[in-house]
Formats: sequence, structure tokens, C-alpha cells
Amino acid sequence: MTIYFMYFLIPLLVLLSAMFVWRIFFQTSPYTRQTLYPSQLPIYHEQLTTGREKEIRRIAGQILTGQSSAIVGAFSSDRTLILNALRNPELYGDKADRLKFSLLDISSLDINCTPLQFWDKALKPLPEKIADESDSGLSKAYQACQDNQFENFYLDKLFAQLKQENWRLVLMLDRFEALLHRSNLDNSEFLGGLRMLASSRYPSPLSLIIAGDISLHQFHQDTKDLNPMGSPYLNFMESGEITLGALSESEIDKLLNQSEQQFTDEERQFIKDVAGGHPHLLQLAVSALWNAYENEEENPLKSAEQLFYNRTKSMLNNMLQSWSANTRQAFVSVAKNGKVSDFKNELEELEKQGFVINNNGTWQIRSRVLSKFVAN
Amino acid sequence: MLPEKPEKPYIAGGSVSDNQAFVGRADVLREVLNVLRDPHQNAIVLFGQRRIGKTSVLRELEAKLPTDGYCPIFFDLQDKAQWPLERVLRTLAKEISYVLQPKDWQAPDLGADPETTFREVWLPKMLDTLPTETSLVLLFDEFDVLADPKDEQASTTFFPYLRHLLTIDLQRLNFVFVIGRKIDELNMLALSALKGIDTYRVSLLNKEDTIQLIRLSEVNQTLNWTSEAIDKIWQQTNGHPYLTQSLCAFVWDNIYDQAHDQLPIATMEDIEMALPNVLKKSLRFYERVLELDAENSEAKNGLQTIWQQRGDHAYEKGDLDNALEAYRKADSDDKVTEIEKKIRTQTHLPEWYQPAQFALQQGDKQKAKTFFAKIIAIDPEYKEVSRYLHFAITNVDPNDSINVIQKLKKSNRKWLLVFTAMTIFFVGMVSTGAICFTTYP
Repeated sequence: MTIYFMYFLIPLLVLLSAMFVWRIFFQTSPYTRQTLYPSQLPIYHEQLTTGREKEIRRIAGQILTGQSSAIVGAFSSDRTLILNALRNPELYGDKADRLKFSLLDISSLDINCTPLQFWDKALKPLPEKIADESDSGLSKAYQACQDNQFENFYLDKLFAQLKQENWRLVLMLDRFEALLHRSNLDNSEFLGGLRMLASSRYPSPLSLIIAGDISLHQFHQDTKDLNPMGSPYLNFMESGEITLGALSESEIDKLLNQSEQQFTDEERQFIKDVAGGHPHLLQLAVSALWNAYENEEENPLKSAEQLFYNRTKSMLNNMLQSWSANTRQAFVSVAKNGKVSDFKNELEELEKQGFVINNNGTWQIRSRVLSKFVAN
Repeated sequence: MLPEKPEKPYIAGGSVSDNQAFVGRADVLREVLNVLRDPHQNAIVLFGQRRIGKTSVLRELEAKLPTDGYCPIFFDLQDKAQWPLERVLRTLAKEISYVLQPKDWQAPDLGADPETTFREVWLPKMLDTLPTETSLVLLFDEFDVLADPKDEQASTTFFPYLRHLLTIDLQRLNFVFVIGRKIDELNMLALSALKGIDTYRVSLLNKEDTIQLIRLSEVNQTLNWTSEAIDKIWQQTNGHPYLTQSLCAFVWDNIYDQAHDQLPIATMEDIEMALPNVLKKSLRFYERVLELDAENSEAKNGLQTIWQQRGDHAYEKGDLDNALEAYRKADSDDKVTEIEKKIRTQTHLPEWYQPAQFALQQGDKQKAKTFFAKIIAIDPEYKEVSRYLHFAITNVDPNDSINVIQKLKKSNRKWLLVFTAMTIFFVGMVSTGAICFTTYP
């Protein structure tokens, strides 16, 4: 009997007590999380391109062959990360040293920005390249551009020279839709010129990569009055249009696995449910959860959800406002289980962007925070 | 052995020229050359839908016209829609002089009256500098941007000026205009400027050229195609260069999402996988073509083919609502009738048939008659509805060998049998229990 107590029952009780204590104090304790990983965001910014490898490879393929691409996504940070990732020379093999990258955030340009100011900024990498070759054809062509206010004629000759010397400028324009609010750029001369420079030669010495939250179709609708008879300005890049949708379940897991924080199954599910599949929302959800632990909340998941909602609602509001009336109505109808049969195209587009999902014929919103936002 | 960074050879977007990606178009090039050689003509209008490859044709002409007879100048009007005539002329003069006098080039000075100077002094002088037997060929891309009915400024000045320009020198000054719509859709001024000029449609590629386009990836040794896959692409795109390149590019990208150490082969499966996405894109593409050109027959046919394929796809999956919508858009009347009938059969008819039979069993012939009549109005061949209706009205079964009531009663017999069997089983159990109890108390 004593042996039974000594060697079996007491150790068993100790083990059970230890498991109980661990469950109570460690697994759910906010203190422990804070002690383990102080003041660090669980997912690093650079890791957020996880799950976007395919998109990056495809756009890099377009750049390699002198073609243009459009990146359409609701969250600017997702798009910007991809633009930055595209500058990695490893993507271009032995052609990397013939590419010059230029990144411009259109929303950062002055509201009265002129084509001259635009091209002066956009062509910044060229003076750096030609600094030591003042007599070269490229240097002369660039000088002619500067002397003639970057007129399209001179720009065309500059790009012809670039092509002749086997160079390519990769012009990345972030928040491209902001162009529509800059009257000196939102005109047929500038937009038609951009089209001509990027599309009329093959392989083009100007590879245009635009990123924004509106599709090319929407952009063409918005500029139709400027160009009622000609080809839509950017239709040459329609086949290279890439929409950043939601990550798949396995891609989300892969992303979360890269975190220094090891998430429990419950936390993992919580993050997926509230955020859906967009890396930016996932990062914010993880961050909210982290803060809930740091704040020693009694119910960290519930508090995190509220925190996440408070932090994202203004962004979500802006996003919904930027959608067309029909798209907004389609989205609200899905959220409120209303009639959706009239919004087939809108729902297909929203599905592509990863906001709704079709489960056996029933449309659903992917992220709980969006459902809550619409409900409120 | 695959290259380290395989390059996709398909260009679905920008223009291609002077390159293996430019295929076909021998007919268009021949037509242009015929006009250029004709001493009585000096202009041709090439027209065709968006993304059919018109700019590529111009660029090909620029690169391939024999240098010993022609001096081509490409001039894109897309960015010049709102320019005053004098600015268009100054830029055109720059382009011409840049090609003719590249050495120590300087922008030509057209003075204070550029319109007169260009036409009467500068251009004739330029033509005189050309070698003998050589003519200048002005290749105007996006010519229709100037024909915006709302923008009268360009129309009222440019087109009358052009009309005059066309007559300057039939031998040494030639014009090729490219427009994205049919010529009779231009405004009156543009029409009068182009009156009497030959037109030629830049159309779809033939099968041979389409196959050559598809096989570009075999030329750069990045992807082989099975002949079934090639046939499927031809069937899907009907030789539209943009759609062919889009579909091939999509398949190429899908295949290269995985790493390969051997030359991959695109099969029917790869095409089938790419189709829903590509069909969606093609659909949008044709819709946009029709937004600009409602009567464009190529776009109409393309759209119909896609809707037909979408309908077939939905029908195969049993998605009748979407199939019906697609077949309606494809104007496929037979299929619409077939599916409408099927939908009616699947929804309303069973809802009416069951109560009708029940009413007949209960002897409520009036009610049965009403339901059977409703069914017969939609589908007279549904089950045995005409027979039952006949019986409900006349009390006579048209099919003598079977008595309807007896048949209906037969179904009740089934329940009687089950009930009897259960009773026997129950009695048996009770009896067995009683015997056991009395034998072994």
C-alpha cells in the first residue's frame, strides 16, 4: 500500500497539480506572454509578403520581359510591401543590373504637381546612372528632356535611347488613384503620354508597375470623359493586373508560424476569424491580441477583438466609401443576408479581393471585423 | 536544360513588332504596300477592335518597310487629343526631322504661322531631301482621338488641314491611319477628310498564325504544348491575338508557379484549369469592346461563344439558374427552352403533382382536376398526368389494362402488409414470452 502511495498515487497527484497550475498560470496568463516576448510585434513587417510569392514572381516576370503590371489591393501596406519586394535583384538573375527602379507615391506629390515635376522625380535614378557619362547618348537625351520640360516627344527619345543601350526603367507608382485628384496629371496629354511611353515598343524600356485600390476598369471608367474616342489609357496592362486577395488557410498558418510568438489553436482561429485573410488585417489583429495580453486583460480575446475593431473601423469606413455604390450595396446585402442576385459582378470582384466567400451558393463575409462594422 | 530565369514569351498588352512575337498579318501588310505602290493613292485607314494588334502593325511597318523605297514615321496621337493644330504640327515636324536628319538634330522652326509654313514650305522641303524613288510614310496611331464630337477644336482645324495635306504629293507623301472603330462612326469632319480613302480591317488571326503564336514558348524552349491543348486554345479564342496571348500567358504562369527541371508540357488539363479565369477576362474584354462599338460583329460573336461555354459549364454542374442566364445571353433559344422546362419540372410540378394525387385518392376530383390541369399546361408529358386528368374528369382510366383507383389502393396495401407483419411479430413475441413464463415459472 505504501509503495502504491509513494510511487504511483502521490506522483500522479503532483503531475496533475502541475498540469493544473500550468494551465491556470502559464497558458492563459498575460504576465507570462509579456515576460517571454517583451515589446516586440509578433509578426515582422517584412514577413508579410509570405503568401504573395506567386504574385511577386509573376510581376517580376513582366518586368523581365519589358511589360507592365497593375497591383490592385484594398490595403496600401500590402501593395507597398510587394513593390519593395520587387526591387530584390535576385528576382531578375543576370538582367538585374540592367534595371533601374524608381518608386513614387502619387499621394505624396503636391496637389498641383506638373508633368515636369513628376518626371523629374520619376527619372531620379537616371542622373545617378549617367553622372560619369556626360557625353553619352543617354546623357544628351536626358539633358534634352530637362531643357524641354519633359515633353512627351523628348521623353520618347530618352526611352528609345534607353532601349538602344539595353536599359529598362521600372517605374513603380504607388497609390496610383491619387492621380485622378491632380489636375495637371489627370489629363489626356500626361496619361496618353504614359501609355505611349510604356506600350509602344517591345520589349519596352519603361516597365510601369502601378499599385492602387481601384481596378484598371474603374480607372478607365473614371477617365472616360478625358478619352471618349481613344483606347483606354492603361488597357495595355489589363492582362498583367494582379488583385491581392485573401491568403489561403495554409498561407495564413505559414505567416503565423513565422512569428516569434507561438499561437495556440484558439488564438490562431481567433486571428483568422476576426481578420479574414489580408496580411495587413492579420498583422493588426495579432498586434491587438498582443496589446490585450500586455494590458493584462481578463478576457484577452474579447478585448483584442474590441481593440482591433476600434483601430480598424476608420480604415474600413474609408475603404467602403472608396467602393462604387453597387459594390457597397452588394457587400451590405451579404452582411445582412439580403438579396444578392442583382450583384453578380460586384460579388465576383469582392470575392477576388478576398472580402467575401461563396460557400456552396451562400455568400459570406470573410472577416468578423467587417461584418461587425457593417452591422454597426 | 531550362534557362535559369525562364522568360514568358507572350505579350498580352503592349505592341509587338520586329520580333518573333509578331505573327501573321501578311494580308494587312500586303494591302498597305499595294496602296503605297499605287501612284493614284497615298492613304489607307486600318481599323479594328481594341487590342487586335493595330499598333503592332504600324510598328511592324515602321521596322519592316523597305528602306530603299520608304521612310516611315510613327506618330501617336493619343496624348494630343486636346492640342491645338499648331502644336500637333510642330511635334510632327520634330518627329519627321528626327528621322530624316538625325545627325546634330535640332527642333525645326516653323515660325509664327506654323500651319502655312509646315504645309507650304517646310514639308515640301523635307520631301525634296528624300532620296529619289523614296516616299515618306506617316503612320498615325490612335487617329480617332481627334474625332471626339465634343471636342470641336481638333475636328474643325485638324481634319480640313489634313484633307489639304493629303493632296500635297501623292508620290512622295503617304499616310496610314489607324482607328479603333469603323470609319462610318467617326464624326462628319473626320469622315469628309478620309473620304475616298481605302479602308482595311485588322481582324482575327487565322488558325496557322494562332498556332504559331501559341508555340512561341516552344521557340524560346520554356514550354511545350500538346496538340489537344492547342486546338482547345484555338477553339476558345478564335484567333484573337490578345485573348490567345492572355490564355497562353496564364497557362505559362500557372505552370511556372511550380519549379521544373525539365521542359514542361501544357496539356488539356492546364487549359481547362485556366479557362474560368480567362473566360471571365475575355467576357469583360468583349463587353468593353461593345461599349465602344455596339455593332462590332467579332466582339458579338466572341461574347456569344463565351456565354454559350459558360452555359454549358453551368449546365454540366447542374446550376440551372446560371445556365439559363448564360444561354439567354448567348441567344441559344433551344437551350433556353430546354432549361426553362427543366426548371419548371424541378420546382413547381412535384409541388402540384402530390396534392393532386392525394385529392384523387380522397375522391376530391375537382381539386385533383385543377392541379393536373396546371401541370399539363406546363409539361403535358410529366409523369402520367394526362391519364390522371382524364380519369379525374371522366372517371374512366384511358389505359384499360390498369385501373387507376386500384393502382392507388395498391400503395395502401403496402402499409397493410407492414402492419400485419408487425402484428404477427408482436403476437409471436408475447406468445413466446407467455410460454417461457408458464414453462419455467
